[in-house]
Amino acid sequence: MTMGDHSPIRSLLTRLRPQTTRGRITYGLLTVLVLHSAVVILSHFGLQRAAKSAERSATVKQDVTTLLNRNHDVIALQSNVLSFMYTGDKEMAARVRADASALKMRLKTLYESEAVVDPTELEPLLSALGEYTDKLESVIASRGRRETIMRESVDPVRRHTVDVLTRAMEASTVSGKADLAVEFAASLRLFMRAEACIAAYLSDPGGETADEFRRIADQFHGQLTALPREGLGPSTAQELAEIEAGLPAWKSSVFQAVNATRSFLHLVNVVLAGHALEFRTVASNLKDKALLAQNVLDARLRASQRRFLMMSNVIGAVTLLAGLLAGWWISRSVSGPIIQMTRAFSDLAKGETADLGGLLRQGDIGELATAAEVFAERNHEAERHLAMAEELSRIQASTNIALHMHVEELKLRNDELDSFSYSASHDLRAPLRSIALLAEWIEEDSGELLPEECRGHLATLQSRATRLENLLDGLLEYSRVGRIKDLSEPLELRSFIEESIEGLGSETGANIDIRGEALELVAPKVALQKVIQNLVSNGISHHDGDCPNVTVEIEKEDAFAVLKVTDDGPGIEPSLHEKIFQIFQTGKPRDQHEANGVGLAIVQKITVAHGAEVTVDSDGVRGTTITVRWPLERPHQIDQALMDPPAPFASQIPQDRPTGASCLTCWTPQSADIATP
Amino acid sequence: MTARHQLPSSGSPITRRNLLRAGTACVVGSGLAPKAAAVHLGRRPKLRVLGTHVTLQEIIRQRAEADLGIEIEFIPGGSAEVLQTASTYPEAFDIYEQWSNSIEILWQADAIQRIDSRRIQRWSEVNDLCKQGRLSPDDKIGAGASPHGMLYAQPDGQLGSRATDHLSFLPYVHNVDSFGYDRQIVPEGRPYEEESWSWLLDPQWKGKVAIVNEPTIGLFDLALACKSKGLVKIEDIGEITRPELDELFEVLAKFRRDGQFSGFWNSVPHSIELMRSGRSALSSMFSPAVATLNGEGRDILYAAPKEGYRAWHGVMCVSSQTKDETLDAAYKYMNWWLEGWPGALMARQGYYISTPDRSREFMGDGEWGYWYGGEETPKDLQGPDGRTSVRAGSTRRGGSYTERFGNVAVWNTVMDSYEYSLGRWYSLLAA
Repeated sequence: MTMGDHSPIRSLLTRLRPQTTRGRITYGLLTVLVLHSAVVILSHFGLQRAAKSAERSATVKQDVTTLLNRNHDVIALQSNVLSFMYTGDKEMAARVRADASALKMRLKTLYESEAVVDPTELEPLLSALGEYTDKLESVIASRGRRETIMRESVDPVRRHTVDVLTRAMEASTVSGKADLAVEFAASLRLFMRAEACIAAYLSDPGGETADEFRRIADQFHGQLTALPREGLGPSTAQELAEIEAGLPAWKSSVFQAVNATRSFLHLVNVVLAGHALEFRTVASNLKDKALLAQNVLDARLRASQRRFLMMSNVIGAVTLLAGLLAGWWISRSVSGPIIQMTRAFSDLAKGETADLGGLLRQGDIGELATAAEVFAERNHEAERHLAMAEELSRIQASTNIALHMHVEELKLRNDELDSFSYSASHDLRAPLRSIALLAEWIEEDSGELLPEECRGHLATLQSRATRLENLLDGLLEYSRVGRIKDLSEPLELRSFIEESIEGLGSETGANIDIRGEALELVAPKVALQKVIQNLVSNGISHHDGDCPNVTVEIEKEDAFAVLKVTDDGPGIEPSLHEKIFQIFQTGKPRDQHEANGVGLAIVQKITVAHGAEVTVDSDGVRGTTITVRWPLERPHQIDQALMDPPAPFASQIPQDRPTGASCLTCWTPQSADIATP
Repeated sequence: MTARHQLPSSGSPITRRNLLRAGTACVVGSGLAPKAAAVHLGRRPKLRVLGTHVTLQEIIRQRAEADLGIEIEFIPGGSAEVLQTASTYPEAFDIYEQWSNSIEILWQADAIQRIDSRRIQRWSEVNDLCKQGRLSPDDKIGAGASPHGMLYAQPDGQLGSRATDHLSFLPYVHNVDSFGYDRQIVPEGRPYEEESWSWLLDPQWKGKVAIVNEPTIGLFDLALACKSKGLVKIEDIGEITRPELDELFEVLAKFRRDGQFSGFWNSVPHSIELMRSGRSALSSMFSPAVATLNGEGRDILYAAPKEGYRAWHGVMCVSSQTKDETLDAAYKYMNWWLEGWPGALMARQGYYISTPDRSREFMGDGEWGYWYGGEETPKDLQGPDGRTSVRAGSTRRGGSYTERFGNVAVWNTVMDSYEYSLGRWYSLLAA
């Protein structure tokens, strides 16, 4: 024995193994169903996965498109910012603000969407865009600051300075101070050169231009300070003094404008461009990454499709193979044993020894094999019994012959006995009557002559002759039972009883009570009537009182009519219950109660002859109940038997036996004490 | 470092009372004019400092407030933003901290006032780098706007190198920059011999090069690279003309279109992130970024290009609108910067100070030797944030302070063609 014999797995497999044909077929179908379901499920998941991959690939494409769009948005935004930088147009400022805000919103939407791109990877984009929008405000502010400076601090100085210098130049000319007018004219040209530098810087910013402005402005400042003010009038001189005092602020304002210009130039060209570049670089990297992911996804999708196709083919082949295997297994596990059993039964039917391979199997086939085995064994046993029966039959045949001979002999003896009884009772009657007549004659002729003792003996002789005659009557009556034809006929028992004992009560002074409902039965009237009369008479005759009470009860019990005859006379000792049905047996000596002892014997003989039975019940003290169970329907064979009365005595006895009276002389009755109670 | 200069421990909450107590002690101990101190004690003037994150660090603000007994507000921002604010709204700040290349603009806009060098206690200790343009007479002066050329306010109102008592700015932090490269990707070159700006344009590192997005800085990195590779002819790299810019950007645009550059970084954290993420393996870098990455365990080398460094100098200016006790506070703050502790702090992130000897006593074992001496450090060195920025056994690439500043190729400069370069820079980014 190996350890595997006790392994839980083996035990489980054994328990799970189908035991019945239906179970095997069910298992087979379930196997095919499971395989089919597996194919369906795998197909479902495979298609679902392919759909997800396709969906994800589409999402990646969308992400790529979105990122490309955001890149274009940034480029467009940069272009608009440049336009604003050059023009300073407020509407353009509002537009770039809106563009930046919209871009930020789109990016935020992408960030919050379930895009393939990791949101954390979008954070640098958001950061760059956040920095961009912040600095964009600085650009707008710087640009506006320059406009403000120019409008509020530079342009008014220009207009005022030009106006004052022009008026000073004109006043000098009017006052005849041509040299002074020339100097004012030179200062005005110098100032205008400085203004030209400002204009040049604004149109084409450059350090050289700023330096040129500073140099000219300083030169103008020095020249203006050196100009004589005499002859110009107090107001003009005052205005020149104010201009001179305001020149540092003017230069400072110009340089603030220069710085504002440099600031927004730097912000736009460097800071914003840097953030935009970083945005585009990160977006481009994300796009490349997304494209790579898409390529990977596409490759995976293709590989998945190939795998799915291959898997489908493999699974299909496996399923087909498994189906075939399941079919083969079912066929083998179901039809194999059946074929084997068929062969076995064929062999068994032919009376041959069968190979019952299925005997060791479990389940219905195993049971069938076991049954076949039992059948085979019983077949063998039957064969043996048949042989034994044949032997017994042969023995029985010989036995039957002997038995038949014994039966025939017994019947012959019985018939001889009945014939003897009949003949004896009949043939002995005449001599007996002669004896009685002779005794009577002696008494009449010589009675008085005879001594008393002789007369006594003569009287005894007459009484004994009478008793003997009674016995012979009884014997004759007993022997007649079964000899007469008495066919059954329908009768109503109660009324039949009443008819049978009519007058008996009044004759004997007995009270006869008949109880019970009317009961129909089929019975021989003569025999039944004899039974009833004997039983009732028996109860009356054996009573020790003056007024016997006899009760006849009628009952129905199954297929029998039950007749109970009960008297209140002295009971019968239980030891005598069987004896009372024997012929010539009396309960008392005949000297005390004159009876022939045949009545109950006749009852028993009749009941036995008609398939009935009789029993006695008495405690031996008082009262006796004799019960007769008479079949409601008379058995046919009994009638048939009664239709064929025994063959005549002469025809039944062997030919070598004597017949007639002679026979009486040689045949000795077995009841030698026939006259003895 | 003496106990007097220890930072407040984390267990000591920074309260107004503590700051006042510390400030009072500092003022009394600093030897400033008793009159000024008496006036300020009651009013606790507020000093608004406009500048960049390089120097506007919270640790500095707290230390200055504790030492000086004044209230200090830092207004940090980007370089351009800070310059724009300072030049346009001088009333919005009291102290301006930025780079020397912004001085001309501020000066021309009257946004800053002259600084009286006589009120600068350590002025005599300020080294010659700013006063003369070089640390030693044998060094060549780098091209471009060397800070010494705009240090002194001249009688005619212009800025020049001729010494006067009036300064346009107080020189303090400075450094030389180059590019950093990841030794795990780019093979190490020998300093001053093999390491070259031309690596930025080496096709071998195509798609792995990042440039600082600032024309006054990155333009010189690229110009040095192109010049080193012989791709352009530039007469004076400190004053590149428009035609030269056209030629330069034409070359650069081609590199850009070919995918040579992986990014143009807008801030120091951005440059760190590009290197950390692997987007770049070579990049224009500032010293703190290199220290941060090395502190994280990466192996970033800060190149010592054979063409020379790009140098920069920090300037501290006083607003033209600042006066009275706030002006006094401004001088106190400027003097505090030269006293040593701030310089030591700056040294730990790789920057030098114009009074290095004052900072030496605030630097621990190995720190001075590594940062200023160019010596190998026997132990790990920590940056300003307390995290390790230099591993034991390291030597500062490029050598000592003097050696590094002896190899300055160009100073960060706002050239006359600045505005023009901005447009070209845009075309480069948009290429």
